[in-house]
Amino acid sequence: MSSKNNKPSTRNYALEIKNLSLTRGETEILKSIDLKLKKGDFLGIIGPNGGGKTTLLKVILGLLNPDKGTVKVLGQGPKEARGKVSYVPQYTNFDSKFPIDVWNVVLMGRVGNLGLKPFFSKEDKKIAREALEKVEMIDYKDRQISSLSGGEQQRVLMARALTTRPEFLLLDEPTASVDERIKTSIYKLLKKINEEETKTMILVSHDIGFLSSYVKKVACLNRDLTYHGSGELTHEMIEESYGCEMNIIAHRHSSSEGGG
Amino acid sequence: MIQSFVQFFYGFVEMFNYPFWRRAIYTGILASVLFGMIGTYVVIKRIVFISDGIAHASFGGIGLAFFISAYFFTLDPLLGAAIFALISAVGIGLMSKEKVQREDTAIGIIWVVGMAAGALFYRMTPGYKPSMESFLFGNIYMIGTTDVYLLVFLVIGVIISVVLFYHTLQAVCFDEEFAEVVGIKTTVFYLFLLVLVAFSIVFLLRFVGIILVIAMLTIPASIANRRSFVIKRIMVYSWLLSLFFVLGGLFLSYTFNTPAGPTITLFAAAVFFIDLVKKRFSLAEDQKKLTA
Repeated sequence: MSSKNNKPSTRNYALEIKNLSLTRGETEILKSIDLKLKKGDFLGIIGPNGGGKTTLLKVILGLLNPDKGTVKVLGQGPKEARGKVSYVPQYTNFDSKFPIDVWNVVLMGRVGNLGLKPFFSKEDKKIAREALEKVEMIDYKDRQISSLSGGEQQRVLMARALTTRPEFLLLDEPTASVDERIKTSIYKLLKKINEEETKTMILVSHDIGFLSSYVKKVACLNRDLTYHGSGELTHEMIEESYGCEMNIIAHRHSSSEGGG
Repeated sequence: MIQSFVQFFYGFVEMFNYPFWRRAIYTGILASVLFGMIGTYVVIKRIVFISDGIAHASFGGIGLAFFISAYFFTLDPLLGAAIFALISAVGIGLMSKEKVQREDTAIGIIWVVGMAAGALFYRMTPGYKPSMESFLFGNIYMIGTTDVYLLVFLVIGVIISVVLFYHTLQAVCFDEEFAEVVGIKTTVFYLFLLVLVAFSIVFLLRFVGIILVIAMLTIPASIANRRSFVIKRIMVYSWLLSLFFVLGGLFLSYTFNTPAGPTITLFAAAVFFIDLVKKRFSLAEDQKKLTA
């Protein structure tokens, strides 16, 4: 639970990022990021739009290659760790006209196991059904994905991520444009998944208030990462996070760097 | 009434007396499978413009094949078209994956370079050659027995690929990033899809031509898409619609002595617009009922 590391073996780390930088064109999106997460950790990342939150998730997923630094996911390179890591993207990224029902979206989590088989096995379908039950969306199985509300779509995407049976789960704004009541239920569900199944999780969000009561650690990302350590979020931490959202504590980052 | 019905059927049977009409009908039946399956991917993956780029670029290969045949060695125009289509499919595919800025501009340029090169080589080639329009709008008189056999192989290949990779292709079309995360080689599958599009275009060159092939790869699938949100069903509806358009179009073309490619295309487009208006109308009716 402690952020001050007592030198546990590297195998206990779910994520080790050292001196990571990424530049696109002339913009520096991520700047010398250091981050370590132990297995079972639940990290919330907050930060302004364009602060590099989604980019960082994509680097961890191996979808983007960093210009500098190293990333180890579950002791392996991001691409080698494929299959153990899953992802809940922002639902607004999809083509709303795409013809697909909820059931097929969720089964997508099993596509990696298909190989040359044209059909899903009973086991695959059972896993998909269980995931849909967990997020309480099983009744919507035959609906077209775009006919659902934002919160419902988010929960379907969460079920899809769970069907891959991941050890490590990354979530990109899972509560964007969702009302308060649904937000609470989504956060409760995530907390349950983290605690009961000891999955390591990183969640990117704007809901600073919500984050503080559900995640174990908070970091703030605005090109560089300010790590707020473990345990309960104090008022100062939240204040500082808000401060970073307004981009006024940029030069204080080096002093509060931690976690590694 | 009955008499005209009999006449209609007689006309249809009569078509089979001519070998080239027979080949056109066989080609049409085979083509409808490609229009149904590949067309569905073209529509749902939103690669209409990319596919059109590949189709037009292939014209460069046709012109070059005539030129090479006149001065060096015999090269089938279809082979020339296939080479150009494959190169442009892979080129455009990689470019769109790399998120090159102004992708549409780049595709537009590849498109016109292919057309210009084709026209240039064509005009520089001396001697007798089939008209340029034959390749642009199709010419069923040019369809040979070999073309039909080649098409059979392509259709079998496409059916096997779609059945085998149905779920994988669905994942790649819906959410490439997630597919990549679960371990699918998305670039390979995306390029594979574009190569199937390229082959479909080239193999149907003589049937509907470079310009009209995109109409048949989009119209049936988009009418079908208005009726279902399950990809396999869209494919089946779209295949049946294509069969109707192709056979109906060929029959109209036979009856009124009009070029087959444009007739099929306009027939399909007419149904597309009637369907669009009908859907709009019934939507307005529903809203009226709701407010009443």
